[in-house]
Amino acid sequence: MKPEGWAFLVFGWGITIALFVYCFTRILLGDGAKRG
Amino acid sequence: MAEQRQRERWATRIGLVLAMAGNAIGLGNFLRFPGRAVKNGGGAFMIPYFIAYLFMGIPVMWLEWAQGRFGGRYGHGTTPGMFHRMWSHPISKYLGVLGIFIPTVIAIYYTYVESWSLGFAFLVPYKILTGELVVQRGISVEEVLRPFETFRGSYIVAKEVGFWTVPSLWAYFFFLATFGLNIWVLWRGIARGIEALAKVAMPLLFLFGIALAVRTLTLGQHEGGSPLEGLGFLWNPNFQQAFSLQTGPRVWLEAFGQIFFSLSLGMGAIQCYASYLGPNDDVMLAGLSTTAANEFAEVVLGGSIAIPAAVTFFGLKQTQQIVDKGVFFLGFTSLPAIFSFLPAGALLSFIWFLLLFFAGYTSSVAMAQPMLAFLQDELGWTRQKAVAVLGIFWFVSMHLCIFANATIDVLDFWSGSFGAPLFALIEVVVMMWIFGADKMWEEMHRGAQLRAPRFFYYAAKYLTPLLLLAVFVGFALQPFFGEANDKTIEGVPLSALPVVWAARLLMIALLAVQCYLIHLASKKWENAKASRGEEKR
Repeated sequence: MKPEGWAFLVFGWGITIALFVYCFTRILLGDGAKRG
Repeated sequence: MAEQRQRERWATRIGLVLAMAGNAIGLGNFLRFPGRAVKNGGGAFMIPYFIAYLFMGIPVMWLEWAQGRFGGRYGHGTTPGMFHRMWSHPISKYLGVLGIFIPTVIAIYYTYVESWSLGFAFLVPYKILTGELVVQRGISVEEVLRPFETFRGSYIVAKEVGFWTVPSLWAYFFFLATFGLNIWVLWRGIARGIEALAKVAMPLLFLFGIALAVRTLTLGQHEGGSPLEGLGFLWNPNFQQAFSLQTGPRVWLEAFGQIFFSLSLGMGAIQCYASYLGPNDDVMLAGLSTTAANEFAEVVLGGSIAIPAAVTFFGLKQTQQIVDKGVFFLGFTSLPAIFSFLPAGALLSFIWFLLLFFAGYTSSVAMAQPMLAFLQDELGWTRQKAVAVLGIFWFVSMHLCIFANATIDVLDFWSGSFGAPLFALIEVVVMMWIFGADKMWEEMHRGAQLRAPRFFYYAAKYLTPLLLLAVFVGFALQPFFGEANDKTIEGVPLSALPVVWAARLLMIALLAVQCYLIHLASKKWENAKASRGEEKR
């Protein structure tokens, strides 16, 4: 894999994983078990 | 009438988010995305992809959640009633018909396609274990893939008579099983059915996806290359392709389309699920979470399984050819062939197809729910009666797809490629330009646990409609022009014209019935309004 491929992979995975962790942490640690 | 009925509610917030994610995450996340990225500039494809996510995916998701909760406050679970409340023009409720028409049509063919993954989850591992589908190493790629492709072909079409297709008995059996599982969940309702399914299926889907991605990325060096070369095939950017005047527009359009279709926007299902929220429940964090789950499944998991595995065993050139043969070849032929080489290959095939089945199952119940909600909310039917009547129509209609496979493409074209972008465009215009951008912004932020930056207001009002228009023109209108129009009709060879018309007539009849039901519902709304006026006097 080329260095620029790595850059795009880190960019794509980074945004996606960070957003996923942020959202689900807030929901699960917040009021995830409460009524929808 | 509608206001007096006690509507169902989600039991938990995480259950709702998982159900919404289940609606969005489908076969396309694991099969369509990697193929599109490889064909459209690799890493460079991610630039228009994330632009579309930011300016179209997230805003439309928030708008649909907010519209759904708004409608639920007035007892409307579907877009005819929601449009009627947002725009007091006689035509508004009939424009909203698309929010029950599109998901109903998708449910018809999607459930059958979904049943293939359930069938393959059991049959492929069995055939690998019994040696029927195990091939020797060291032979050509074509020879490796042939038995798997032959099995796939004979499973779906055991016999062909003109444009009529007779499925294998197994295919029909797993269709019945899949249909029964869908009806069972819908019969149980929102919290006990759809939410309970999502709470089991979605964590399993992510678990299976992570396990398969880890297994693929640790394959090591093989005949074709290594998983790292596979990731490079997907992520090395081709800026020339993504930004040249000749190929760039197509790449950007594909990226916009991938975000749009992947998030299941413009289908009326998101509004329907959101209508079971309380009036002050958050939609901003929950809506963003839905997109985050979808993107994780697509970009991280979807990009780490089928393509890297194919490159590792078959090499770059052959993988390119596999991608060109379409998403089903990649997912239903190439990947199980690769798994058959590996230790515990039967188990890997089982969890791969079960993953696809869970992705499809949670989406198909979401596609059936809007019509059920309409019958319950607007006509006052019980859930059981609504499920029974829709179930009969659904079951009968699916036989058109089973015995004339070409109809799948026709139904998919009109509901997905044509209908969904058109409806998304209409709903954004109704919300941001007719109902009012300021009122909509306020509606989105009622009870919100996340405040959107102000630029989303302007994006949703000005930029999002333009991006949706581009998707509509690119995916819905383009097939009517150019070379493809001379050889095919709605993706189907011209020789299958009677089948095309059968599918069209089914859709026209459904649309007419749904419009008539909206007319009946509107009479009830008028009567309810008149009686409220008398009470006040």
